[in-house]
Amino acid sequence: MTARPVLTLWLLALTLSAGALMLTAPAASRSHQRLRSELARLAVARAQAEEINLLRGDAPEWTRRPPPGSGLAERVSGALAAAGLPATALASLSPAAEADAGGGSGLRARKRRAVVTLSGVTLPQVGGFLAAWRELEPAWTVAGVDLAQDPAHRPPTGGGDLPLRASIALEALYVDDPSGASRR
Amino acid sequence: MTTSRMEPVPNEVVRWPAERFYWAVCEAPGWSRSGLLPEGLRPELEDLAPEPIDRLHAVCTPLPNGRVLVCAARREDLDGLTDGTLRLVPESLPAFVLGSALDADASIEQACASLDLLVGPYEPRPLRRARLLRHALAAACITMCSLVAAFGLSRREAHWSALADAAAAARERLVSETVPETAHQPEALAVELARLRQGREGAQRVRPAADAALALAAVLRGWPVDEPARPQSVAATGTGVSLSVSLDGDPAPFLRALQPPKGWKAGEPRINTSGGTTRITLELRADPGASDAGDVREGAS
Repeated sequence: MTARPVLTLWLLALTLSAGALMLTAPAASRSHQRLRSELARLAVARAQAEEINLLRGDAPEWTRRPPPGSGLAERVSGALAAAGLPATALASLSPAAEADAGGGSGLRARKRRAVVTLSGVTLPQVGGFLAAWRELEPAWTVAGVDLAQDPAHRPPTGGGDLPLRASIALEALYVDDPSGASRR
Repeated sequence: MTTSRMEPVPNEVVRWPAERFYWAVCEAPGWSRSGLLPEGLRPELEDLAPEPIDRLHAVCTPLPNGRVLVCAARREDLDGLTDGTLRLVPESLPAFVLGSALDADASIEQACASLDLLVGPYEPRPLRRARLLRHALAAACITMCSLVAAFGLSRREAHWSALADAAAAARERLVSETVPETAHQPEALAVELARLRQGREGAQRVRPAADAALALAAVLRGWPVDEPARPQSVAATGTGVSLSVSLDGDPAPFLRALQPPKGWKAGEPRINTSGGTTRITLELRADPGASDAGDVREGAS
């Protein structure tokens, strides 16, 4: 009988073939699936990173500012000194409590306000103070300026600039983000 | 027949007369192969054969109408064939078959050719060897193809794994570069993206204060210094300036000479005159629709 050797031969060949394919095909299939998955994740990550960079670039400048530090009185004194004004020109300094700036739950936007009142200063001196302040304290915006004749100081009799009382409203807007993520 | 027993000639076809075989026609509906008699038909042949069935070697070929023609020969006769004999077929078919089942010459010749008794245990050694060799070659070919395919799959698996590793490394690098502080967290990019989207929406709701110093400077730059007026108060915000001035006489020259900053508009003045002194209250507002309203800031800075 010749059926048995042929059958044995084919069994052997098919077993060998199937074994080789069964050993490699599943691993190749898994590897291919993993590759597709990784490529898809990489594509998603690229799109996300691109959008993140876009959003960071488009974010308003104030969202990247650090919170203004403490010591507002020293800062005002520094600006007065930089503008050549005596410390006595500072009539009052009224800082307000920190408040929510209305960013909603998506952004912890906070703002601080303060009103600086200068007394007996001339218009050029007010301008000098404002210029010094804007240069030294970019985190604080001059939100309002009220100029009026200062009733406590008499106008110069020989002519010259009127003594003014200047109430300067300052506002610092920033994101209260302890992680600092918003400033990246 | 010119061959001798000492020198068998391969491919020899031996034809025996029909009388040297036993013949039978059996009912076998559906059987369509020529060759060894199937086991199922052996009992029927056993009833018909004049000799014990185990002393016979039988083959069959299909006939029309669901029947098969069985041709059997004594085993001892087959044992006496020369080694070089490759085929043993009947010269013709018996008369009862010719008359009933087959009538065309071509069909008879074809039936005779298909009744080769040297099959199964009597298959000639050269044919068996050639058949085995064909099977071995086919099996080897299939095995080789499978091994080559397996090798290819193995290489592809390694290549795809390397690519997947590279993609994963690239993604991790991208995450580390984009969100270095939270790169270790799962879905760090998605979290950061959601945070930034929320932040953008929040930032759109916030209205930062405009710089009042710039607005004030822009208004003062257009102040009519040649007009004899006494400023009473000036209140500036980033988007508007309110000023109060007192003067003697006609306020018209002052109002004509006062130039609002570019992109700003002057409102209608309020004028009060008392005892020869005229008090003017005027509001200047940045025009939101003016394309050059931003020049105030640029010019003032």
